[in-house]
Formats: sequence, structure tokens, C-alpha cells
Amino acid sequence: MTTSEAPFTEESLKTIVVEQFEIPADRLAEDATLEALGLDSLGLLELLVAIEAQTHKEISTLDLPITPGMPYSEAARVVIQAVADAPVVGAGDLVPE
Amino acid sequence: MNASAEIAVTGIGLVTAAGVGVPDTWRRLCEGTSTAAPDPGLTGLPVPFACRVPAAPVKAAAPGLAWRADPFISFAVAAAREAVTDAGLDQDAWDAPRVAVVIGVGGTTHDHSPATCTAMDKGRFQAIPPTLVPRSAPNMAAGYVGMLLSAQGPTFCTSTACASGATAIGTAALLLRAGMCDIAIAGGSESASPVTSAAFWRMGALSTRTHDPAGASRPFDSERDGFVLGEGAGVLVLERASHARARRARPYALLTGYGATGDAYHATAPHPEGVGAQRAVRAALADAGLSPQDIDHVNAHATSTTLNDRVEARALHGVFGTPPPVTATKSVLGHSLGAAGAIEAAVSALTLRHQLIHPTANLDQPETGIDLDVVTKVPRPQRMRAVATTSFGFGGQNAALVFQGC
Repeated sequence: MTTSEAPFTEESLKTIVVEQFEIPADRLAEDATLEALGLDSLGLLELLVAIEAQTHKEISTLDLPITPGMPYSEAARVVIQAVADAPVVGAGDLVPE
Repeated sequence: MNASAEIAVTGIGLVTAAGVGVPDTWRRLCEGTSTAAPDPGLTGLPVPFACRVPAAPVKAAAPGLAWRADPFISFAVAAAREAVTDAGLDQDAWDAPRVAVVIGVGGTTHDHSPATCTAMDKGRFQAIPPTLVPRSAPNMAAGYVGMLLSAQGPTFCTSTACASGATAIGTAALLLRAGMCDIAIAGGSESASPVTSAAFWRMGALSTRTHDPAGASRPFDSERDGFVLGEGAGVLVLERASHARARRARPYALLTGYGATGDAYHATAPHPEGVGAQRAVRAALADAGLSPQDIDHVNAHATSTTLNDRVEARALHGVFGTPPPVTATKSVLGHSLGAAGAIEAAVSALTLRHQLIHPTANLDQPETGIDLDVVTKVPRPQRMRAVATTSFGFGGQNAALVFQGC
């Protein structure tokens, strides 16, 4: 599992997207848009929550420059940068228990 | 009811503890053995067994939904897809605004209750999933079926506790009769969760026969001690018979009668004489233009709770005098709450199609005073023209449906 110490990489993101959101890895390789992958606005929010729970970082979701029409690779770059910039918060604040 | 308003059942979809798809469930019902088993998800709870739907085939039938929707939504989507395919309909070709979706759900699934309560309690609001509302709201079973199957007519949820699925099917028939749609995807769906199990146990409604889960759901039996929690979905495709004929569909049965009543009596107990239940069955018979002796078989609500089965037997005697042969689907599939009435409606249509009544599991010694001809041990072939099915929900909310061969 990725912790706040280990960097959140493209591979970490892929693992979440494939395992939790049941999106086949080859669809990511095709660089489909988030929308085409089934990640609508709610899906993006759920994805960020999943990343927060794993990294113990609080990502500012409101001003994240991501749209559902964006290709996956471009969105991935934005998300990974946002995680790198995000402050670490108290362990457990982002997961219920 | 006049012939032009006859409603045909042209497609069936089932998701139950016996599997995903009509064949698995019908086969298991005819075997007459319970699907109840110890459930790893309920380990440590007062009642650690249930009739749970196998997860993998649901995931295959409704892929990509798990992150955004609770299981009852996936069950409804899987059953609806099967029913629409079974009906020979093509969602890409139909007149979407004329297709209605009515899916009954008893309550929210409580899947996320423990995590959400902890987060709220500790002020960790960031941990509350953004999808919490749309993944668990009862109307979202109909919502996702509409979205994924391109149905844009009246789309809503009926909620009458354990009668929800039957109420949905009856209500869909009314929409068709009123001309508000040409096709209706109608049924019920429910998923079980540890919170649901604990809550029904606390109410004293669940069987605690932990040493023998497979023998725990035993409707009408003298040793019954409560229901076994089940889950699943049943979905029918309904259309006016004239519409079905025009596209050369081969209906399973005609839905000719629907009755709905309220006990106005008690939150959880049925009226002792089953007065509301009797009125529901009589209303369904009147709607179908049939008399009690025209009914060849009753698929009973029969939950296996002490009170319900006794009152239901009394109610059936009240309506029928000598009731026709009865069976209890919940003996095999458990009690799937809001889905049960729809699953049993589907089983009633299959019973007419196959002219075969599936046996009730675990009925070894009927309770003294329950004088019913319950089909047990082996399926009973029988000539049947009309079948009734009963559903009774908490709050005294009753529904009865009548199906006839075609």
C-alpha cells in the first residue's frame, strides 16, 4: 500500500482505477476520456476520496483543473501533481476508522 | 377487465441466492432445498447466516456499477437486462419515452451505515463518500435501470416494505392500462447488510436456527421461529397484450388482477384475522373478474414467522373457504424484503408456463390449525389457469396479484 511517505505514482493511480472502478487496464492504455471510462463528475470525486484515504493527503477538489472530457493520461498527470502538492493530514482523518 | 387492457408478461429476470438468471432459480425451486448458509459477512452477528446472492455473476451481469451503486441497484440492473433480452426487446430500437421503469425497494441497504456513522461521530466528514446518496437512495434502482437500458417513461420506486415488488408490478400494470407507457420494466430489488440483519434480529423477526441454516426457513411448519434474510431482484417486462401480439412476443402469462390495501392497524404485526390481506386478494380477484374457485394455486407470502404464517392461513381460508394448493418460495430463497413480491410474481408466471408448482422446503410437521394443502418435497404438476400471489408489508401494506395462462 502507498503511504504518505511513498510517492503516489502513475502506477498507484492505475491500481485504484483498475481495481476499485473496474476499468480494464487496456482502456487506460487507449487513453480514452474520463467520461468514456465511466468516470463522470461523481466518479472523479469518488476517485479523489479513494486517493485521499490511501495517501492520507487532503486534495483540494474544487479547483482541480480536470474535466470529464479530458483524456486519461492528461487527467492522471494533474491528479499526481495535486497529490504531490497536497498537505499530509492526520492519519485516519480521511478514513472512518 | 376488458380484453384491450390485458397485460402480458413477456420477459422475466431473476437474481436470487440460487444464482443470476431465471434457470438457476427455477431449478433450485424445483429441487426444493433452501439456499440459506453461513455468511462470512455476518460472522459474529447474532444471526450469522442468510440467503446471499453470489457476488461474481452479479458483477459480470452489471459491470462497473460497484463503486457507484449499492448491490440492490446492481441486482435490479442485472434482472432488468435479463428480462428485456428474454422479452426479445432491443433497447436501442424501442421508443424510449414510452418505456416505464417501476422498481420497488423496501428500504435503504445500510451497507455504509457503520462507516458513515463513525465518520459523523468523529467529525471526519471528508470520509463520507460523495456517492452516498445516489448509491443508496431507494429510487436509484429504477434510476440506474432507466439510465442503463435507455428507458425514459415514468421512472420511480414503490416502497411498501415487503410488498414493494408486488406493488411495483401492480402499479406498472395501472400505468399500462392508463396508456402512460407501452412497455413497463417492473419489479423489486433489495440487498441485505449486517445492519439489516441485526435490526430484524433485534425485532425478533429472524430465525435463530444457527445450528441448521438450511432448515431455518420453514413456512407453516410447527418448528418455525422467524424468517431468513435474503436478497435479490425480480423484474418482469409487461406490455398490453395487444402490443405483445403486434410484435409476435410469446407471453408467459397475463397479469389480470391487482389488489392493494392497508391494515391501518399496527407497525409490524398483521391484523389478527388478516382482514387487510383478505381484502387485497378479493380486490385482485374482482379486478381479474374471477371468483375464488377460479384460482388454482397461491404463491403465498409465507415468511416463516410465527405470526405471519398463521394469519395468512386464516386469511386464505377466509377468502377461499378451501384454499387451492399453496407454496412458499421464501422456504428456498429466504425473505428478500422489497424484492420478494416481484420474485414471487415471476415464480407465479413461471408456474403457469411450466404447469408445475415448486415444493416448499422444510415443511415437516405443519402447525396445528394451519390446514393448507402445501406442496412439499417434490414439484407438483397440475393443470392451472389462474394463480394468485400475496405480499404483506410492515405497516400493514398488502398487495395481491392474479396471473392467468394465455
